[in-house]
Amino acid sequence: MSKESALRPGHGPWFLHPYLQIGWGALLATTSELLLKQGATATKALAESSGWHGISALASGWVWAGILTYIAAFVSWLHVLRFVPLHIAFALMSVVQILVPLGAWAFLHETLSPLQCAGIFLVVCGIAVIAKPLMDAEERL
Amino acid sequence: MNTWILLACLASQFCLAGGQICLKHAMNFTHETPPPWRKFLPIFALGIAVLSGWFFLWVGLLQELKISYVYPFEGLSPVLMVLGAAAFLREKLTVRSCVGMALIAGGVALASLAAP
Repeated sequence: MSKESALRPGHGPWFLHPYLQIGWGALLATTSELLLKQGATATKALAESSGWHGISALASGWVWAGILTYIAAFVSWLHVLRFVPLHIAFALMSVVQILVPLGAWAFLHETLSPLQCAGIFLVVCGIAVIAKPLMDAEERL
Repeated sequence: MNTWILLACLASQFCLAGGQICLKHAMNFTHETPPPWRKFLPIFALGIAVLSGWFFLWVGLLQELKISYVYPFEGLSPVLMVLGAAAFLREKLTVRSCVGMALIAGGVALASLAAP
């Protein structure tokens, strides 16, 4: 196992640190998903009466907030891609797969099944396996 | 699930992995001084186009099928990403990162099986 940092140097000020940006981007992506779901639910009746499924969701402010948040997450992701190998960045970004169901449970009052909890646990294990040596390498620098 | 739907599910995941590989390849050019924009722009645009293909394929599948049928295919994308990053971007893979990706792929697929 390599003890070197996986990061390219030169990311700039602390708030642009790629691992911090992965966390920030994951929060933005999760927020975006929840906003889009909220907007889609709010415009369900409009979609059924107009027949314009999908596009009718644009009538909701939640959806526009979701789109803007998604764009911010994408900009953050592009910054991350400049400095982190793709397979590591994508793995760490999988934290979204955990945050979305948890956010849906906390804010949208959706239920979590035992199978989902087991899946979330496996994703946590996978991220921990990949992140541990990266964190050790960063601490040594 | 018929053959065309199976192919569409697989194509959507290949588009997702392919689009991300194009974006990463393009962003690698931004470290050069000055950045070679003529190399950057076509690959970046290809990445956006391929990811758009993924988005519309995926939304189309979600409109036609129950989410529980198509969502387990999401578990494929981490595996394709690892293989694609190694093959096209020459990223060094460790046993640890492959094990981690396998756990994530299994977790995503397992959680998706519970989708209503």
